[in-house]
Amino acid sequence: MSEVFEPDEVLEQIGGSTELLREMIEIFQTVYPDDVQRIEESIRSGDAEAVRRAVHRMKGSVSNFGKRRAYQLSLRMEEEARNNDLTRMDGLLSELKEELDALLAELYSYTVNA
Amino acid sequence: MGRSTMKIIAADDNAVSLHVLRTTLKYWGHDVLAVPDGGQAWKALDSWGIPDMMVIDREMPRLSGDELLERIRVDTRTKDVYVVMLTARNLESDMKEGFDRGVDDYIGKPVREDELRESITKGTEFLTGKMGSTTRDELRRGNIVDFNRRRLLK
Repeated sequence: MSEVFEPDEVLEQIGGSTELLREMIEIFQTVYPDDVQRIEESIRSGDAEAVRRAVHRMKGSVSNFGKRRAYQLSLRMEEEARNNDLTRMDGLLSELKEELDALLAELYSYTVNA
Repeated sequence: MGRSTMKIIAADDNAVSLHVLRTTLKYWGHDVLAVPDGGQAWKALDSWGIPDMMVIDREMPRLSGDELLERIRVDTRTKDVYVVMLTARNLESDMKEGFDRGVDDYIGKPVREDELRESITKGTEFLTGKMGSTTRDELRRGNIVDFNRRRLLK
């Protein structure tokens, strides 16, 4: 079982529509760069509440594709920002970007092969 | 007796989640307006009209779900609208407080089709008089029980 994306799990969540899943993937591919940029800008600003909001938004996006690695990392970032702790945020963002790359690759693979 | 098509405003700042809500509710035959924040949901009451139900995210820019709910409950046009709140938080204390402030039902995020269906069906039955003498408070108390049951099953 993939730690990144399980299509069957998401299909069960949304009622089985492969068409809807494809549309969700298309929308995510379009909006995620803005969400990443929002997190980067908030970290640069040093505003922990802005970081929490930006990461919360990303967490909401990736949660639609299963509560897997990208979700768990977003959750951790959100909790640290809520605790006003931004010390590890740059490193966590790098990890999150890697997880997003992995998720996007699997989502792309699904749209091509399913 | 009663109609099954509801007029529903869905509000969520997450584009993927909002698309799932809009598509699913429309697929079930409801008349749906999807908006990306609480401010636009509030404005839509004038431009689109008063809905039967609103499915709103808790954390949204401009006007949060909690702030939007507060306005809905004090406005005579909207005080009886059936409000379903989406939340990533699953704290029972949050739920009880929310129900006291006028949330009719909660759904955890990400939205599951079966949970959304259950909530919308109950709201439809309540609004169309199919629940007989069930009061709003009784409905909400039942929804707390159902929410906790769903949470325990996860």
